[in-house]
Formats: sequence, structure tokens, C-alpha cells
Amino acid sequence: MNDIEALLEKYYAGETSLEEERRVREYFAQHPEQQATPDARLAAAVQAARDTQPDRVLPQRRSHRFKYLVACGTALAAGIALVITLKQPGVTPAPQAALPQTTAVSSALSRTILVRPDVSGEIQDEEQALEQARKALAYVSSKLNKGVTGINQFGKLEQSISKIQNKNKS
Amino acid sequence: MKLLRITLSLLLLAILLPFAGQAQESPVQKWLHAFEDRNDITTVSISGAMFKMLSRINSSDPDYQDIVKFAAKLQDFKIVILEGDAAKAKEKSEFSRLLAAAPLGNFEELMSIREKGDQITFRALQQNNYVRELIMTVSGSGDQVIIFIKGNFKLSELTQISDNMNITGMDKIKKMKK
Repeated sequence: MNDIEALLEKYYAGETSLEEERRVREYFAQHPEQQATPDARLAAAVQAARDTQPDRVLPQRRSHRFKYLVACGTALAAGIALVITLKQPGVTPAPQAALPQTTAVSSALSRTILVRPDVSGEIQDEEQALEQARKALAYVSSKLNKGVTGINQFGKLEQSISKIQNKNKS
Repeated sequence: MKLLRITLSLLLLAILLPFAGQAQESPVQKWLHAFEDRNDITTVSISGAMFKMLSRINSSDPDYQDIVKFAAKLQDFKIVILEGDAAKAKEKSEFSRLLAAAPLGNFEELMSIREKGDQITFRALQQNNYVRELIMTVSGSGDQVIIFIKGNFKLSELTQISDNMNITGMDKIKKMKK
């Protein structure tokens, strides 16, 4: 009994912990004869007030934010997944390497252009890519130069090209 | 709410941004896919990503440096070859049909050379005197060839390549490997 009085004193002073407040409520619940007292009514009213309102606001906001976080996270994950699948070689189909038919007959021209008769598809190897680019570019360039020799200076051709472009623009 | 809107729009941006980086294929690049996966047609392609990698190669060989420097300006490189053979008349006509469908409306013909029964034609899509796309076609009695180069370079840079590049250039690369 003394115990509950000390507890109540503390309660009114606003110094009780949650655990102690629970004990106050328990005490009134176990002693129905005390329930009519102001102390009990106050404790019950405080509890009722607490049960019905304020705390809810906070968790609700939190859950909203949580929902957005989940939505954002999912969207981001989906975006990343999309990018990864798009970048995968399977989506931009690289033709399969080595067409056996072409290895047998390799004519003069393809030998001038290709580093190897069996090269095919998208080149993944760095050295081979450089060799291939170099060989084919040399071929393109030699033919370009062959056409240009008649004009002597390549600058003239470029000049005439830009003249044509300017004419087209105006 | 304001913060939320900002967050959401930032997020949308973050999702869409990677797509902006992926360059759209030009009409010619799309058209060249038609030649892939066909019997008797050899297609070789070197991607822009590969050229980026190649441009980071260091070498003291001046010839090598030239090609590496040029490679840095390229975004795509494709070779299509149908080897000439009288027996392949059907493939040849199919090839010609595909070739005729090339979307070259904006291209200008640079030059055309007739050589041993082959007709060689250069067409380019240019922007401010820089070649953005160059397509070379070889057609005639022998092999049918299409070489497509996409990038941002001057035509004179391309012609300079062959000046210091010949068969020995290939040998130099082979030496480097060892």
C-alpha cells in the first residue's frame, strides 16, 4: 500500500518510468475497489488518451516513408537490372564466331582486308581488334589514296566537298 | 512532400541517365545487321568500347601510335564480305538487294574507282568537314565488300594512315606480342 502511494507520488511528479506506470495501472486493475478514486480515474484517462491518439501519427509517417523507400529501392533495382541486361552481350546479338564455309575459300580481297580468314562477328580480343582495324583501315586508305592521286592534293578534294556543303546549306 | 518530389525526380534521373549514355544506332548501323548470321557472308565488327580500350594502349612505336590515335576517334567499325564465286549467284543477288536498300540518303559520294572489274565507291556522312560515317563498297565480278567506319575524323587523317602503314606494320604488331 505504501508502495503504491510512493509510486503515485512519483507518478504525479511525472518521474515514473513506463514500467512503473504499468505497475500503477496493474494495481488499479487488481484492486477494483480503488477504481473509483481520482487516482485511478486519472491513470485510466491518461492510459485511454495514450491508447487512442498521439503515438499513431509517428509510426504512420514512418511507414509512409518506409513505403517510399521500398518503392524507390525497387525502382532503382529494376533500373539497374534493366541496364545490366541491356549491356549484356546476349541482348545485342554478336554473331557466332567461325563460319566454317568461309575458311575454305578465301579470295584475294578478303585476305587483304581480314587478318584471318576465320575471323567473324564482333572481335573481343584487343590485339586482334587492333590488327584487324589496322589492316582494314590500310585497305580503305590505300583505295582512298588511289582515287586521290588523280587530284594530286587531297586538300583540293576536301575544299570542293566543303564548297558543296556550303552550297547545300545556302 | 517537396523533399519527396525532389527525391523521386532525382531517382528517375538516376534510372534514366545510363540510357542517355547509350548511343543510338544510326540507320546504316541498323541496316548492317541485315548481313549478320547469313551463310557465306563474313561480318566482322569492332565496337566503340573496343576502340576506347585500344586508345589507352601505350607504345613507343610511331606507326603503332598513329593507329592508336586514330582508333580513339572511332566508334564503330564493320566489315561485310561476300566472297566472289560464280556458283553463288543467288547469294550475290541477295547481297545486291540488301546493298540497294542501304539508307544512304544523307550520304555524299566522295569518289568512285573502277579497278579490275570492281567498282569501289566511297560515301560519307559529314559534319563540319569531319567524317561521322564512312561507307566503302566494293562490288563487281569478285568479292562483294562493305566497310563501314563510324567516328569523328578528318578524311585526311584516314588517308595518312596508309602512308606509314604497310605489310611491315603488321609484322611490328606481331613482334610486340613476343
